[in-house]
Amino acid sequence: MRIKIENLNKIYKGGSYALNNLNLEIPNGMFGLLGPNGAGKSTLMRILVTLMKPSSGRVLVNGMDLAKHRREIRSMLGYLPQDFSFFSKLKTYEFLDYAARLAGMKNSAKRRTAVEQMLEEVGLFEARDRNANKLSGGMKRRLGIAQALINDPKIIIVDEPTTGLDPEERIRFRNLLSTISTRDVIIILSTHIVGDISSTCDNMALLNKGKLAFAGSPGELVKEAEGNVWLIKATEKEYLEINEKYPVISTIPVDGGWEVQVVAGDINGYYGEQIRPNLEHAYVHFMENRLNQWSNV
Amino acid sequence: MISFHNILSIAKYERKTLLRSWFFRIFGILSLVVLFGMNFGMIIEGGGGEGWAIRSIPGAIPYFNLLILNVAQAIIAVFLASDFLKRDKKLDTTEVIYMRSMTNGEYVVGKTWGNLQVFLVLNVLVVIMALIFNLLAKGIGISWISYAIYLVAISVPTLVFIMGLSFLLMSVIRNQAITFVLILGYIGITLFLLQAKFYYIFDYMAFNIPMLNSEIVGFGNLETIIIHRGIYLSLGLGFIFMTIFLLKRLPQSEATTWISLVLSIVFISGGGYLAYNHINNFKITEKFRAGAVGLNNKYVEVKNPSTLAQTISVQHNPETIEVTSEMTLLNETGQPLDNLIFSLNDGLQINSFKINGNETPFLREKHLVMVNDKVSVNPGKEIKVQFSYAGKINEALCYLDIEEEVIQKKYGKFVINVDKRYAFITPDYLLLTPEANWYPKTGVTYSSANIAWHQPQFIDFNLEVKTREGLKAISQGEIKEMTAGHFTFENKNALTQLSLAVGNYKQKTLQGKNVEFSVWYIDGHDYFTNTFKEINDTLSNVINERFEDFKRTYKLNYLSERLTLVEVPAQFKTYKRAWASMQEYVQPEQVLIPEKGFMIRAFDFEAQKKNVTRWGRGDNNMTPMDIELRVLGEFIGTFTSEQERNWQGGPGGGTQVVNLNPYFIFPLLYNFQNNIQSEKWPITNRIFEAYLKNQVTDMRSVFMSNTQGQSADERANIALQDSTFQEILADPKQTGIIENVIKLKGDVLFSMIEWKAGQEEFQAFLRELLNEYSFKNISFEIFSQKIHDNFNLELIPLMDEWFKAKTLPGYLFSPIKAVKVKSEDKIQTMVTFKVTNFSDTDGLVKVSFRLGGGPGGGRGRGGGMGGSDVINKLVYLKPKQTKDLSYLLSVDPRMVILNTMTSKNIPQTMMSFFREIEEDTKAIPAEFERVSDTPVQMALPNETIVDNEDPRFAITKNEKISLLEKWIVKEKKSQSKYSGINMWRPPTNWTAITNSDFYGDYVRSAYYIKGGTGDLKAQWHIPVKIPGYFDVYVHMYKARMFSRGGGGGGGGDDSGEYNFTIHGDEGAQEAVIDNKNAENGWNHLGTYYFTSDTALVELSNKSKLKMIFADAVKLVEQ
Repeated sequence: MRIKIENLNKIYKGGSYALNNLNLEIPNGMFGLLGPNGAGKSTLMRILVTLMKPSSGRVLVNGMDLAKHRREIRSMLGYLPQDFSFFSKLKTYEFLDYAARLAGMKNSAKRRTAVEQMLEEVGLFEARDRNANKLSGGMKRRLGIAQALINDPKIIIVDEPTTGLDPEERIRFRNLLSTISTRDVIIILSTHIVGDISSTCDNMALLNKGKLAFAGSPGELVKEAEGNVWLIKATEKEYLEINEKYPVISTIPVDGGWEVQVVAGDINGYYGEQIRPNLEHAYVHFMENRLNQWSNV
Repeated sequence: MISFHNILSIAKYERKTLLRSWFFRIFGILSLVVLFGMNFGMIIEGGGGEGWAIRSIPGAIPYFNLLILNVAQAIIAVFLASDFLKRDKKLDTTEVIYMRSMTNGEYVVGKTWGNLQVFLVLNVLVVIMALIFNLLAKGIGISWISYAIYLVAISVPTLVFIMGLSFLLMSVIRNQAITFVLILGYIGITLFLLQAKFYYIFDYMAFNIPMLNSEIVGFGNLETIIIHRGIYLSLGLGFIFMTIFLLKRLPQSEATTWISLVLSIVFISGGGYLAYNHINNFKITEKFRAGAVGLNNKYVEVKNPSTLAQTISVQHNPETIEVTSEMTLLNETGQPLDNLIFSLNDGLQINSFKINGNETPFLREKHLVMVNDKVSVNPGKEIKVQFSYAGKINEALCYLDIEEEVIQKKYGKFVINVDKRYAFITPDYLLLTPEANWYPKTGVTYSSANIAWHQPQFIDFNLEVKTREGLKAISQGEIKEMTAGHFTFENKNALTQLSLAVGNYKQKTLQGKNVEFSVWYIDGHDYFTNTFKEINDTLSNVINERFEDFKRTYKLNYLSERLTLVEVPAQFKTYKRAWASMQEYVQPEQVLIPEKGFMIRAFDFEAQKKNVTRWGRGDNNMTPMDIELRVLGEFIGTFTSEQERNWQGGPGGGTQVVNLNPYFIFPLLYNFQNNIQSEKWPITNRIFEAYLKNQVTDMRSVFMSNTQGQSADERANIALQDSTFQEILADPKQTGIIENVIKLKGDVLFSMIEWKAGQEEFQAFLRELLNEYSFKNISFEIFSQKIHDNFNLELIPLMDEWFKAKTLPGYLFSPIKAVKVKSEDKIQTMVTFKVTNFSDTDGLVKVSFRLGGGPGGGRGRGGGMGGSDVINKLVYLKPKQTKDLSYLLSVDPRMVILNTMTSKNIPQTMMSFFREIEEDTKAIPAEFERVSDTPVQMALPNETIVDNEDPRFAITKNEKISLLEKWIVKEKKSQSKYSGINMWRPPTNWTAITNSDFYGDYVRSAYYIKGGTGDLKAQWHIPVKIPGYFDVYVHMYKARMFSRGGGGGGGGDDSGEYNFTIHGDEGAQEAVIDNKNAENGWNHLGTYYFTSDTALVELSNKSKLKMIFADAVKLVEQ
């Protein structure tokens, strides 16, 4: 499976660009989509799930143009939007059955098995007869994931899937996606939680203001940040200065001062050491330096 | 490729969602409960006239159930249908549905189907419930096909249309609240305002379109039903496809989107085309009818020979008839005839036309057959004319005299709407009455130009009918079944017309004294045989006695040997006509009864028995026999009462509606036996008929005019004030009052004859004449000659004046005084009053004293007042003549009625009650009718009176009429200046009414209004010639219900006040009259000083009284 995005633009009324000449290739496996609010992530995802028409450009899924082959491509999709609620009158089982039917499962026996199995997988089997809208926040999220995964879609698009989940559920969800990603599928994961991407995605893209800022593996993004992440031991007074000068990733109080992680090329005059960056550092570094450079250019 | 899997999946979960909605559940349960109650009440318990309409025709049970459910579900469907788009718009959940692989069409169709399923489930439940009641009810068959047809024809198009409309509006407006307002507004307008208007084209709920499925002929208007329901089904589908096109979801393919648009246009255009066809069919009929009348008008003056005999041979085929008709014609016109004109329904194609055995060319224009060549019939000569023709009946040709508005008016009972049909030819049933023009007649049919077209003729009819084996043919005369399906009918007497019914008939017969009474009913419709078990042995005697009573009442004979009730399809409808009081329901020897008498409560024998038992609970002596006799009496009353009175409900109360009873069998005694014919005054026969029927004052009519506003007699009198009798007869807009105009004019003519000839003498003469000329026409010339010979009275000079006169007499009456006087040894009541005829024309006043009993309780015939308890006097008054009248009565009179018949007086009939008559020892007993030189004076020289009819009287108005009302319900506004008194819901504006208790010269009227806050006023501006002190009086009216201690529904409490303001020299002064202490008539308000030219007295509507009246104010100079 491969998704190829070519010169994709989405221009809203008034001329503002939600996506600006976006070119991107998404291969098999987990694909992370990062970017600040308003970067165009949701717009891109809505275009990919055929809910929105791009202003120009095209999306090819396995060589099929998304605009011309909606029927085929929709049958490959599984989608979990960010704000997800349920028709108030349907039970958990019924809702998933409805999704399974629309996902193309015509055989009722097979569908029943698949729905029950999926409910087991997401831990909702016991709650199958409960009204879907009466489930807890986490359970609702799981049901949302279940409906996106039912009937083994080839392309799974999830928007902020772990928001609101407790750590245990988040890990469980990540594992579930990781397991699925081993099959011949594309999973596009849009999230604010950088950790979700670092722990699961083989490839990722970073969007900013509708443009592609970075595309590659999380490792490549991290590599760009090497030598630019520092752990500074600072006094109270120094901490205040550092906070003004550099983007601070984290601060830990220690005896007589603070241990502050910052993203910077040099820490002139402060006592500190370079540390190995992670994806979160890399994201901040990227946003602070590369994008600012682009803006200046 | 459409995926039914997707559609059904979406539908399934839409259905589940809706079925779990409490809104729908409550609606569903409520619908079932309400319909359960209605079914129980009407099918099991009887349920009055409405119940019988439901129970008598099996198809009516599913019809009414689905119709009522349909109205409710049409409203609820708007909420549910518009909800899904709102739901979809709000929830992100939709996105996980929208991104699935399905077309927009599949999605919308699935949603629609889900919605529809939910309602269909409810419909099926209702149908099952109706079916259970149908099964539980005694003696009611089951029309299985009706259950299926009504479900499809009523519910499906309505739901598809309203859902489509809701979807579409939601797609366009995208606001549920606005969509609700628009659609509910539309529903309200169609349900309450548009109703059956514009050929019920807006009736998407099928609430007005006639759809009754008769057990005899099925649907009478299947094509119209299919087209009408097709309109809404098609529009609904068009709207649904348009919704698919407009759905805010990226389509699966652009092609399917455009296909949706194309389909939408196709279906909406299809709906439009059907709507055009629907209206056009009516328009074509209207145009045809207008053309037919025009044609009749063109040839109405052509002289025609009389028909002496007519032999008709009919072959009843499945969809057509084949007929041979041989007529013997006689030229009685006194001049040679070179042209012959016949009329024959234009749906019947003439195959052969022969005169004296020779094939003769003819010209056919619509229904007219014209022979211009090779024909010459000399005076007194006979010819034989033979027609051979075949085809169907074009019912557009029937009732050409009836206005389209009346033709289109809803017909039926309760919510059951029945199509109006005038003839039937089906494989199993046939009904032909003269109105269908199924056999040729000489001359034209209805002409608006000249009533002379209507000349009844007594013809020796012979009829032969061939139909399929197993069917029976019914017509006038003695029936002989020669072989199976072959019938002949022999008549001893000549007939004016012939009708024919063929069907699966059975007969029940009772032999009366001279008449055989029988019922021809459709096989399976015998619900009556076991009804009168207790009086079975005496049944024929009872019926015979009642019939003899009926004849005695009118002092007329019935000369036929048979009297038959014939059951006909429910759709068979007739109308009242200007030239005869009879309707097509009554045929010679027969009364045609629509399907078990479904519209007539008296035919519901079992329910009637229950009612009689319930009403007679206090009567311990009432036996089952008595009950059956009462029920039988009610049933017979259906045919012997001239009027039928129905209670018509309305907001806040109701009114009694009086209609002519179409089943009244008086025509059997007169119209089918006698005819007084006049070329110059063609209405003569009608006048005689009216006279024979109405020789007494109908008390109910008088009371109704007092309590409910203008009676039809009053409206007729007012019409005669503006137009001549001749003009009214020619005006189709006057059909509503024509009967009363004829009655009044007849009253005038015959009162004049009676005055000159003597009442008893004239009546005896007339009946003898009718016997002598039974089954023959009597020319007016003969009648006039005989009047002259017997009474030395010249009738013809009277007639012209009577027919064309526009000037009416106008009378003023002095107050009526009644005192007890001692005359010889006995006490008598002396009633005295004065009357002046102020007009330039002769006048006749009928004075009737009612001696006993309460109002409305006269003998038989709807409270007619006649016989020994009434004394009638006629007073003739020359122009400008005044008479002093004094009558001595040996029995106390309860009331006197002054009937001016036709006059300038409104109301033209005045009544006065005598409550306690005191003795006057000084009075000299005398009875006289004396010409006086002193006319009746309304005011003394020192009195100035301003009445509400005076230009010096004014009212203030409250103008609050909605635009919608202005546009759509224009015709609701009463055309009459005077309304009736609405006791339950008085008007909020001053409204003019008439009553003989009001003050007035010719017009005794007043204004009345609901007691209110004082925002509206009635004002009397009274001229003051010389300044001074004046006593101010107001003429007050105390509604009768008040004076009787609170009966009469609306306002028993008479406590309240009249608030007056008198604008005099001392400024505005308030004056209050307590209604309880007020007298009917003049009441003293106070003494005031007036110097200005005009004194002003104001009456405010501020009062605790339910209603107050503004009549007249009088100033009396001190």
